[in-house]
Amino acid sequence: MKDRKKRSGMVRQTNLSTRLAPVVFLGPAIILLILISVVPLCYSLYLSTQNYNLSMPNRPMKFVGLENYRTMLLKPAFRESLGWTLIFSSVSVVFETVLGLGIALMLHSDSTKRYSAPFKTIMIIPMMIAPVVSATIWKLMYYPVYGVLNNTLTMLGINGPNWLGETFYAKIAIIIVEIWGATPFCILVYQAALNTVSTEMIEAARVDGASAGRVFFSITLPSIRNFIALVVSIRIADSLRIFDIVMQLTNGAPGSTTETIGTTIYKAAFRYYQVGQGSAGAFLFFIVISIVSLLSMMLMRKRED
Amino acid sequence: MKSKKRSGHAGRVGMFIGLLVAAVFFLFPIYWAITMSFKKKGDILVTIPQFFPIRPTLENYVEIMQRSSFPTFAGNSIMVSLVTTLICVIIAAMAGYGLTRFSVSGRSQISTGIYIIRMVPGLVYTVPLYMIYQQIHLIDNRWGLILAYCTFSLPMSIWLFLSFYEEIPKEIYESASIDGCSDYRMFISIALPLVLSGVSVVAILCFIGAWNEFSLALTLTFRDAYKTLPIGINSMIQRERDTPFGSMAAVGTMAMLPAIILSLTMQKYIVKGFTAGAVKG
Repeated sequence: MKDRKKRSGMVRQTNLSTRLAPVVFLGPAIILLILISVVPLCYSLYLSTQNYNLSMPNRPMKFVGLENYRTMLLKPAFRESLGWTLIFSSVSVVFETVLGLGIALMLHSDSTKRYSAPFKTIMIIPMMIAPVVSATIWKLMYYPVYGVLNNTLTMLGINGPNWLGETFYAKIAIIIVEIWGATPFCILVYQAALNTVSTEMIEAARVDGASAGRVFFSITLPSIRNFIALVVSIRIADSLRIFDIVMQLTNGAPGSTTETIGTTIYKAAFRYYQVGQGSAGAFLFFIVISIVSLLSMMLMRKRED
Repeated sequence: MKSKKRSGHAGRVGMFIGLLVAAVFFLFPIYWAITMSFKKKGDILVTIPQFFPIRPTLENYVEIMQRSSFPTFAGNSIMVSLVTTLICVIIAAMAGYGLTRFSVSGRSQISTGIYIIRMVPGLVYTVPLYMIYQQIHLIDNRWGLILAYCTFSLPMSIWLFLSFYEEIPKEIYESASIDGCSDYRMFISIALPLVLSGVSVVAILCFIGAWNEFSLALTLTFRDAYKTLPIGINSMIQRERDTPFGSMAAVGTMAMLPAIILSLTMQKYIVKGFTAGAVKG
């Protein structure tokens, strides 16, 4: 009798701890995500409808509805930065895709396979370096008088431009740093993608006398189409967020011509203390990113029906 | 036949040259910053670039160690990144296990939630976190950064752990639970040892993510004593009128060090992390 009671007590205890197990395992993650992610997001949504100036913290917040969104959308600075960010993103993503695919293809060929491992090691490094740091080391090379880039160009008899001083070249300089840091990721995914292409099909086409270009466009490219769609949409979403590189390389200069959406929102909130406008801008930014990356994914993915 | 062979040869040479150019493009900026950090001032400010340092010196490193806040920045970065990695790996490993093992109600909603949170740009959080942290005194506080970094690494880390746990055959759990093994024992002595390589993948990504983070640290730290390396480098460039090439190169080199070491030693895990993360997401 006693023994039985004890056992049933034990069963109940293990039952309780078994029932609690999901809470124990999932609880910490859910609590953190709610506290540091969901709550701030909701709070930010609330802030975006308020008029609040960080430099005057004692003044109460005032509800202004969608006014902040309107202000941001009508702000020339916001629109200009939106335009430049979209151009920046498309140019970088095109280069990253073409370069990434090209290098992945070169590494995939039989004759270069043995360089594949050391090359992979080399190009992983730029991907792992902080964008602020890569902007710093490129900035050292971009300096007009003592920078290695222009000095090398001079040795070749070319007069190098004032990289960070002129709008056009400053934009190119930013795009180069972005391509430098992001292409390795594209190469990695494309390499994985190329390994999924059926070699039998390629061999059969070769036997039938198809040229390398023909094989690439009729077999390889269609087979890895979904991978390309994936990489492009990830890269678009990421490159639209560009912030670190611009802050370090140009800080928006010359003038405010290289300000991106990210830096414009940051400065609205923390330089001009317009917290509500900053929040509204951030949500607009989020919407733009979601739409553009979803659209690109939908347009490029092979329809599976 | 002969011409085909020759074109194959030319193709091979072309590919070799292409790869060489690409390797120089990816490697040169790193090489240049590292070598510059070992050059004397007079060898940096020249118009004919010195591609190999002729008179190597440590004076730039002595300079940043003794006359800048670099040691503080580096210390903060190391502490914040290591603690973030530790906490994030533990919580994500548990959450991933929980999601694969239990038929939690609303599991798909949790996954969708994680996915949406992953899509939100970090910049969206800067304003509300600044306001909240100001209220609870977490501005200029390393734990404030750690808390934020853990949370923002979680979605990606849980995602990765899910894919690693899914590779474990269900039968292993079943036979263990017949033997009376509790969920906690099962997690520690069966599941975790089987995903050890996954732990390394997640740890590397968490560490690098925290080490490299910029926008949150920029808004949540103001005093030098609490700044991390990326913010330190940024304030160096903003503050000085004459760009201190040598010390910037030295600080940059130190900041790149973890990335370089990890890339050279943990290549397999990094590739796995980035491709699995991309293909899954």
